[in-house]
Order: sequence, then structure tokens, then C-alpha cells
Amino acid sequence: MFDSVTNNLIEDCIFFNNTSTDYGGAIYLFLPGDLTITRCQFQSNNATDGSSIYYEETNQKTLILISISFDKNIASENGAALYINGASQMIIENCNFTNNIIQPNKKNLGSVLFLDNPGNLSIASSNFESNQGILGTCIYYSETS
Amino acid sequence: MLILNANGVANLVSVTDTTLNILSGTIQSIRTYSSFIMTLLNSNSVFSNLNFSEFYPILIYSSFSSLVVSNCSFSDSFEKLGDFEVSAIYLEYNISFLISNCKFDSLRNDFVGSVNI
Repeated sequence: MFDSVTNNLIEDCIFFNNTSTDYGGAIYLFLPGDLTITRCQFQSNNATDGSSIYYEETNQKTLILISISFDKNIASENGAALYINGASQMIIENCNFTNNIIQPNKKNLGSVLFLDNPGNLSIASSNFESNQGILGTCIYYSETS
Repeated sequence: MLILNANGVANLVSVTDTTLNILSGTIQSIRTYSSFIMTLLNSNSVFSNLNFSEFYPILIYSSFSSLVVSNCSFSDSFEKLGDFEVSAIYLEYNISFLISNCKFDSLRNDFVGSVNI
């Protein structure tokens, strides 16, 4: 019955005012495989880490984000828009990151993007405006072996 | 048009090795006493033009399956009421999926996010 398809897709969706007590207020991704998210809106979502998207992957997989708006998302710790932990390739293209906030604590990192081992990273044609945090505003990046 | 008020059911839908298409309707006020409201295993399923509201705990769970969810809205999940996680769509283990033109509005999730993959 199951017919495997390699390109999983989330498109033309709105995620508004969703809350998680821990990770991924809108979307929580744990070992999701190759995934494309395009033409979506993430607004006013809340979580501890990754208020819009929390992503964790240990395999050689690709995450593609194209033409997405992230606005007014709030994280109590890290990554109000994205929290990424591991990927082999990550592409961010034509995205808008506006008015995203992490709580003003020196331990909190990346008001927009918290990137830990994102692999081959490409960010193109994207806008970062009026985001708030203390350390790593707008982007916190780390690579550990 | 499917209109379903299913408060207190044990498990609304559970399918294995089949094809399930639910193509239009409103499903609201669902609280079950199992981990998932709808369970789809080794199946091909399409959910289209549906409005889901007021649900607990995980609304759609699918594994070893293909799933298309299009033109659907998900709103106002219940706060965590018991021992189960809350989420609109929870996918794991060899899943292929398309989520298109959907709205996820004011969902209160415990740990796992509105969409968990």
C-alpha cells in the first residue's frame, strides 16, 4: 500500500498563534528526511526553542525553505523563527524574518535563527528586520564535530 | 457534507492497509481517551476541505503511509487534559506527505508542535 515518495512538501500554509510548551510551536521535525517548505506564513507562534520550526536530523538530509514569512514569533530561549540541530544541507531563499523576539537573557541565542551544525548552508534573497535578542541577533551559528 | 461532533469516543478512525479519503466536512469537539483520534497505518489517505476544531489529543497520526492534507483548517486544540501529547498532524516512520493550503490557528501543543514529523 505504501508508496514511498522522496520529496515531502508543505506549501501555502498559515501557522498562526500556535504554542508549544517546549519545542516547535508550529512545526516540530525530528528525523523528517528531505523536506521542502514553501510559500507559508508563520506568525505569532510561541515555544521555548524554535517557535516556528524546530528541526533535528542526524542523517544526510536537506531542508529547503523558500518564500516564507516569519513574523512576530517569540521564543523564551533560542531561535524565534528556526532552531536547527543537524542537517547535511540547508537552503533558505526569498524569506522574510521580521519582528521575531527571544527573551533578553544572555544564555539565549539567535533571535531569528539558531543554527547548530546546519551542514552546507545557503541563505539568499532574504530580509531580516526588527528582530530582538541579546546574543546572536539575528543569527547564531555553531558547528561542532 | 460530513458534520461530526464526537465528544468522548475511544478512537474516531483507525485504518490499516487501506485507502481512506475524507473530502469535505466539519469535525469538531473531539476528545478521545487514546493517544490518537485518527490512526492511519500502511495506508494511502487524502483529507481535503475539512475543518477541524476543538480536539484532544493528537488528531491525525500516520506511519508507513502516504498522506495528502489539503485545504483544511485546524483550530483551537484543547489544552493538555491528561497524559497524551496534543498535535494536529503527527507523522513518523516511512511517511510520504503533502500538506497544502492549510491553516493551523491557535493550537496549544504539549511538546510536539502543531505539525510533528
